[in-house]
Amino acid sequence: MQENVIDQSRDVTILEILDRVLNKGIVLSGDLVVSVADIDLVYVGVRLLLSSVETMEQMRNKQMGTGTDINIK
Amino acid sequence: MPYMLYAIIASAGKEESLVSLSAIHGIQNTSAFGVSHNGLVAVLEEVNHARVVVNTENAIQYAKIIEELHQHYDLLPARYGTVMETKDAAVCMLEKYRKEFEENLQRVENKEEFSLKVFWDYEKGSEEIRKKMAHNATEVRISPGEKESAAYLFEKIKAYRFENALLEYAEQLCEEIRLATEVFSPDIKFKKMPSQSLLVDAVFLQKKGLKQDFIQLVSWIKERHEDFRFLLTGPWPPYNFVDIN
Amino acid sequence: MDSNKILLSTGDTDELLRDMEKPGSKAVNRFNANPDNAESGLAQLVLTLVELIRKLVEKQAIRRVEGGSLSEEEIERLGETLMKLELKMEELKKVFNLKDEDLNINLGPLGDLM
Repeated sequence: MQENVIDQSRDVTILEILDRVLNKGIVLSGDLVVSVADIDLVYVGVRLLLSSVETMEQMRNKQMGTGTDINIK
Repeated sequence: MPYMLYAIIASAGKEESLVSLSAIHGIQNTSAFGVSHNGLVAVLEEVNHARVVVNTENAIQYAKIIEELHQHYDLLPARYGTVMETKDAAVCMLEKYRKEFEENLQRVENKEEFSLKVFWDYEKGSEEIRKKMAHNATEVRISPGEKESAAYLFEKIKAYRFENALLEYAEQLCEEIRLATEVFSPDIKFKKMPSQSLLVDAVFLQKKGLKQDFIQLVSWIKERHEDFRFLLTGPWPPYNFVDIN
Repeated sequence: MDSNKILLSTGDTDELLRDMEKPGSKAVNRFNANPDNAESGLAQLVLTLVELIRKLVEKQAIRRVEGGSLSEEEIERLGETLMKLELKMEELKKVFNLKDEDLNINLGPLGDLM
């Protein structure tokens, strides 16, 4: 029983570590960096796209309905 | 030979900084070393392949090294698996991003990070919020039943309002946490409901050494919310507080 | 370093663990991002982006409806268009045999992005 508790808290710690090491920290891309681990290069690009879209969203929020027209055809 | 980047540290002009790094063994079990440029040091380790293997064991080993470095230096941790082609590339990087690195190093000077996750019972909590919404319902300008698309839109609007109500609820908790902890950490980042059971995910940047007092403070907040589950972890190197574009 | 990182926790770490590992938890998704072949991987990526944009457009549209600046006719047209967009997306998902979890798409408080 004792071991179980220790394992679980270690698992929680591992999740916290993985989230930081794999998702946070400095991300560099471009000609200076050869790779950011495996398939990440694709996701690095997408993540930059996503965060710029999100920022756009936040900016629109502040403009209370005076945003650009959306033309849906 | 490619080199994996661990972190950027401030060398403060001392030669000893670079020497003590050699005691640290990287994930490939070779010595870490630093290349420096204008007061900044990039901590590197020679690796066999540009594509570093992503597995739990290596990731944890990586974290341990960052942790070790953080005991002695202010640093900006790099994302796991960042590999540079040559030492010169690392020096170029230090020059290219010098301003950003210096600003961020100043931000994290003598500081460490804590994480607070607040979990709630989504089923119960969201049910209560729905009840409140029904009670305060404002008119929706669409009468469902006329067209399929009208009914569709009606549902979408209801969902939109519900989502906003959830975010507002999370925001209230964030405000409470902020007010209580501002004295310890003027630098806080919040995520509101990143998943259904995680109501608030907060990270705090604090001066080193305040751990015990902070635990007390969070205990106090926890006592006021017996319906929520709290998880406080730390101290961590400042992974969440390096903003480089 | 390990066990002494947890400074305070309510009750069972087991329960907390389950909550942290629910779908949408980023650490877990990273290791699962291994498409079986290039084609489905590409479809997954493309459709994720398309779905992202669709959901953002939808959110913006609803926000404008709620803002009260649209006429009845505009609202009606909006409703029809949004519905058609969503139906089209469902078709595409079926064609490539992808589910919502594959696209990892949920926005807002009920999920995360990538």
